[in-house]
Amino acid sequence: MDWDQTLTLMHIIGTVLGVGGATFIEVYLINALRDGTVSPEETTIMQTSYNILRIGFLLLIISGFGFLILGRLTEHNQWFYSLQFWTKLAIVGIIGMNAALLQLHRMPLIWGSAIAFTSWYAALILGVLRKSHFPIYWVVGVYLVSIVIIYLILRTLHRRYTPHMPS
Amino acid sequence: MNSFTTLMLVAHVIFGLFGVAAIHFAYMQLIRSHPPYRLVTWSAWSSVFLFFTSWITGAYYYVVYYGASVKPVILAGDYPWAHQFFMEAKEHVFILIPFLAIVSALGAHALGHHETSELKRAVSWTMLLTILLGIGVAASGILISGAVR
Repeated sequence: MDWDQTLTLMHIIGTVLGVGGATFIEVYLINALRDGTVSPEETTIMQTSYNILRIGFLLLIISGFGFLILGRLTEHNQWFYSLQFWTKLAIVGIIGMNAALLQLHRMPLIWGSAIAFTSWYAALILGVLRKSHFPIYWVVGVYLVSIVIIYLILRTLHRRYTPHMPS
Repeated sequence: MNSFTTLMLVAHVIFGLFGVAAIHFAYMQLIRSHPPYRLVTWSAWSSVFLFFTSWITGAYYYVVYYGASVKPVILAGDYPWAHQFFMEAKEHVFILIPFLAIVSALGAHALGHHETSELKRAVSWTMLLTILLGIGVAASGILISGAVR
C-alpha cells in the first residue's frame, strides 16, 4: 500500500467515525433526554460517542495534512488554491469552533447540534464531490440553508420527544 | 530536495500540527467546569516540546533549502504574494507561538495549585490565541506550498 492509499484509507475511516459519531450523538441525545434526566449509563454511551467522533476528527486532520505534504512533495499542488478545498477546511474549522462554543455553553444545544451534524455531512459530501466544480456561493448557500433545515428538524424532534429538556 | 531535507519539512509540518492539537486538547479540557489540571498542564507542556521541535526542523528546511530553491520559484510564479505576505508574516508569527505555549503551560501549572477565575480566563485566552495563530500559520503554509509551481 503506497502513501496515497494509506492516507485515503485514514481519511475515509476518519470521515466514517466523524459522520457516524455525529449521527449517533444526536440519536443518543434525544433518547437520553426523553425522561428529562441523563443516567450514568447514558452518559457513558454519550462520552464514548464523543470520543469516537474526536478520533475521527483527529484522523481526518492528520490524513488531510498528509495529503498536503504528499501534494507538496510530488508537486501535485494545484488543488491547494481550490476554493472547494478551502471551503472544506473552513467547515473543519467550524466543527472545532462549534465544539469549543458548546463546551463553553456559548452555543445553544440544538443550534450546536445542527451545526455539528450538517458540517460533518458537508465535509463528507465535499470530499466525495471533490472532482465536481460548483460555484462557491452555491456550496456556502446550500450549507447554510442545510444548517437551518437541520435545526428546524432537531427542534421539532426535541419538542416532541424531550419536552423536559432545558432550552 | 534530498531525503534529509524532505524529512525535516515533513517533521516541521507534523510536529507543528501535533503542537496545535496538543494545545487545542489542553484548551478543551481547561474550559470544562471541573478541569483536570494535571492533564491540561501535561498537554500544554507537550505542545511546547512539539512547537520547539517544529521550529528546529523548520529552521533547517528554511535556512538550507527554501531561500535558495523555493523562494525564487514562488516570486517568479503566479502567486508572489504567497512569499511576500504570507511567508513574511508566518516566520514572525511562528516565533511567538512556543512562548505563548510556555505561558499557557505555566498558567495551567499555577491553576493546578491555586484556581482563580481571572487566571483561568487569562490562560484560556492565551491558549485560544496560540491555537488561532497555529491555524493561521498552517493556512499560510498551505498557501505558500501551493504557490510552488
